[in-house]
Amino acid sequence: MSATMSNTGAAHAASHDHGHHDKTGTVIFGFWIFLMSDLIAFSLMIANYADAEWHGIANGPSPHELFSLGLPTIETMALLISTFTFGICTLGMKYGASMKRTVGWLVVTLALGAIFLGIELYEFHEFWTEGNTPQVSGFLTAYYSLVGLHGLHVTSGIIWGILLMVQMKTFGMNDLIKSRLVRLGLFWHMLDIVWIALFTKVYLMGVL
Amino acid sequence: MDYINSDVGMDSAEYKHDMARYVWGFALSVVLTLAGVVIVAGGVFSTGLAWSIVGILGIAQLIIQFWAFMHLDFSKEARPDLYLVLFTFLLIILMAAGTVWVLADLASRMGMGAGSM
Repeated sequence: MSATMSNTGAAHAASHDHGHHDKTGTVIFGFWIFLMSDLIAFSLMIANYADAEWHGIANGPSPHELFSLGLPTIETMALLISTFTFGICTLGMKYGASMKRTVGWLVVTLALGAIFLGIELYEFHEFWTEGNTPQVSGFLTAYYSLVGLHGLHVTSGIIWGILLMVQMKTFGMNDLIKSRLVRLGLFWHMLDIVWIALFTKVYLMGVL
Repeated sequence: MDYINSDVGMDSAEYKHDMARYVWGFALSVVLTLAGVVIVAGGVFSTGLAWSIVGILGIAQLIIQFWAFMHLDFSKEARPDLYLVLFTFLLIILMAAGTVWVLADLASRMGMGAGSM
């Protein structure tokens, strides 16, 4: 097993010059295309939200009345720290860190993602029990679907991370597993970038 | 750039160099996020000005994170990713701005008026 791994490692080192032409590079570029299509979906949800917040308040609360900054700021910090810890995880992996270290930072990342998700669900629950359900107004429909779609992505990222840890334990750190971890990392970084837009548009501009 | 393998270990200068990029990205993101919160919570600026500043801070943080965490830059290796991202943002601007334009126009024709932004 270790002989095979060092062989593929050497083969990979020999193909350094090819950059994106090697298989890992091609697969990662393909994943970038998926991420960008996902980004377009998010941006159109934001456009829909921007209009619903503008014209679709109906008899429900306005963003100014509904939102406060405290919990969303903590939530944002949790996700921001998690995108950094994922960076520590994948960068170390590239430079030959032990599996224990890689798994450790992945666990920290996923735990922070779970904290983010917990705060989001708590807020949803609070709004919901105050009677601010999605049916109340176009604004609330857009809010739950936009922020909920992001939350769904974080949830799938956490599940994906757990499955990947099982794969690491089962198959060891071969090039395929490394490539999968890097792709999950890109997905996670992308989710934080999307969250910057959501935090700015929904919460910061909403509270103003 | 190779995403998954390096010839050198974690004690190398390359590792420290790459790590510095993540640390800068994280530090700047924290500062920009908190700056946005302080501007909104502080209430020193007029609503319009605060809205613009917060928007610019958000865009700045977006660019910083693409650079720091997703390794996007002007290097030859990152060129295909950069073209893809730029084209995506062209599509986003056309479709998102178009959506808001059409829906806002529809709302005004239906006499809904422009509510408070």
